[in-house]
Amino acid sequence: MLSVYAEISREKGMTILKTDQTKLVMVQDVTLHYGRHVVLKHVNFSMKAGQIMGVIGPNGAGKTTIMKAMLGLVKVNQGTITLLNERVTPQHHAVLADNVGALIENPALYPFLTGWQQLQLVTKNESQLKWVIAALQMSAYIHQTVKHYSLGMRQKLGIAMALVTKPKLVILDEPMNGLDPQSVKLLRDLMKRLAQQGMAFLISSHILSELEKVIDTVMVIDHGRVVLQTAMQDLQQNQQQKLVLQTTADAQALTWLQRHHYACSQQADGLVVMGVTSLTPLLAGLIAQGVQFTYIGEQAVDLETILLRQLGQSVRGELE
Amino acid sequence: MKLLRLECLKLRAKRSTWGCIVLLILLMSGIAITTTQSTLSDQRFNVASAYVGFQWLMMLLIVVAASCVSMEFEYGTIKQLAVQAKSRWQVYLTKFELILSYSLLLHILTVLVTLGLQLIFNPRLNVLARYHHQLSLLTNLGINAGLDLYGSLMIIGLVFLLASSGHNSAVAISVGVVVCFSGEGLSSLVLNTFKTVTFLTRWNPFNMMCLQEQYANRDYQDVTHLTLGQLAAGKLIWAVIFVGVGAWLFSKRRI
Repeated sequence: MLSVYAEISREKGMTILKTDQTKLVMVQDVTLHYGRHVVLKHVNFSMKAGQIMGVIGPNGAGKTTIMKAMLGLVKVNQGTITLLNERVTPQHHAVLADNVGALIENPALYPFLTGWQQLQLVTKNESQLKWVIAALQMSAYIHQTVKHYSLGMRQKLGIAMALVTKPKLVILDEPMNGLDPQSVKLLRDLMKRLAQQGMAFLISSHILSELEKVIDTVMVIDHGRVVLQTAMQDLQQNQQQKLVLQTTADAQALTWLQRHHYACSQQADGLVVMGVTSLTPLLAGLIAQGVQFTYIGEQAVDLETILLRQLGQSVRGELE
Repeated sequence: MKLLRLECLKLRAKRSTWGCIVLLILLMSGIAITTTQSTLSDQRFNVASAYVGFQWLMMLLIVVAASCVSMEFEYGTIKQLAVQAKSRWQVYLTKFELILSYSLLLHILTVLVTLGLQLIFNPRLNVLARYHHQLSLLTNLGINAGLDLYGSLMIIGLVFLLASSGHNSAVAISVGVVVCFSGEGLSSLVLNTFKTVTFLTRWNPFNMMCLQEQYANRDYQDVTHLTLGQLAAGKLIWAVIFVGVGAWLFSKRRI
């Protein structure tokens, strides 16, 4: 099986493998329930090398549980999880040790150890330790005991522990928690760089504005079900384009647009017109009415809008 | 092997590991100072019992053992361990192995400190002179250390079990200390309550705590209703049961 993996890069003496065509992770029909409470319902998805997948959804949707199941920390009632073609269960997960790094919920740290000792629990390889400390800019405090760390420092150390062995898959649950804007950017850039070298990331976060800057695929989970799974690029393309107009006479412009059957509404940032296929007749018509434009732009569809729309559809689907 | 190395790293880095050793030496020294004016017979007794060092040692060992297991759930580090190890059974047994090794080191240290304190505070004693069972004082000290070390097997097993089922180490420490120091009393309570089934109740785990006493005084057999060999075997069997049940609880606990 491993023969299909092509070695694509070497960095600091470490080899990173890339599987362009082969699935790195396969989650098939996973269902999990605690008693009568269903936590995951027929979850299916797969990941390949270099992919950065964002998992979003409301609290209690099942994001952390699916991550725990992938790490063999919880037993699923139905379905299979495979990593590099090896099945992962709480009893059999030897494949995880060298291939997966994870930060689940809070960083798992011993307060009496220094950051350096904490990283040594993951690997003894000094070049890897030095690499991750430099990459996350932690050298100023790495030899202090963890009990003296701030929330952000602890979070960075937790992320460093997940990355230090340069595994094939990194699972990060709310990695931006407690990080300052500089550190968030640092992490974002690092993840992009590592993904280009073949490392795959599965990230959950409630900071959607940050998440959408880094992920290439999004999966929306609600009530334990995957309600949307798509590439960010496709998602953006499939969204109906929205035009934002700011004018000197919004009321007059709105009347004209409605009379000419444009789907439009007055919103906080101006007049929002949907489904505009040709701009010229619209602008010409309004100018002929004497309307002056102060701003013309396109409203980007952000992840928050997508999430809320998907969750809305999910709730409606359940009610029906 | 990798897990054992990691567990050693953690144990070494914990201040309490070294604090326990310092405290043990201080407590033993305190007792040794009080024996300077004692009779030779009392001095011999104190040396053979390591200046109460074995009791102090067991109490400190209970604290270290309980925190060794419960800290993983307290700090959430069990997730990292569970992913790194082949199974949680392996994590549990490695920890047990580590604490047993720590117990061995503490017992060796206790014997060495006892000999040092004897030279300082009871220099008139000859440790090679005959004492109980026609054996030298030094041999008696060694046998007591060996029996105590063997006894620690069951206590560590029990403390591990309790630490695996609770959220913090307090319950494990409290129960461990009670069983360790009131085992004989608890056993008598069980034996006297169920007199008709003594053939069964004599195998209760508290009764196994009398091994050292029975070695020192064979009349104890009237209390325990077991021979020395039976007590030793019972202790081992209970240790295996405690470790097995503890490891099962540890592996089933929701993370």
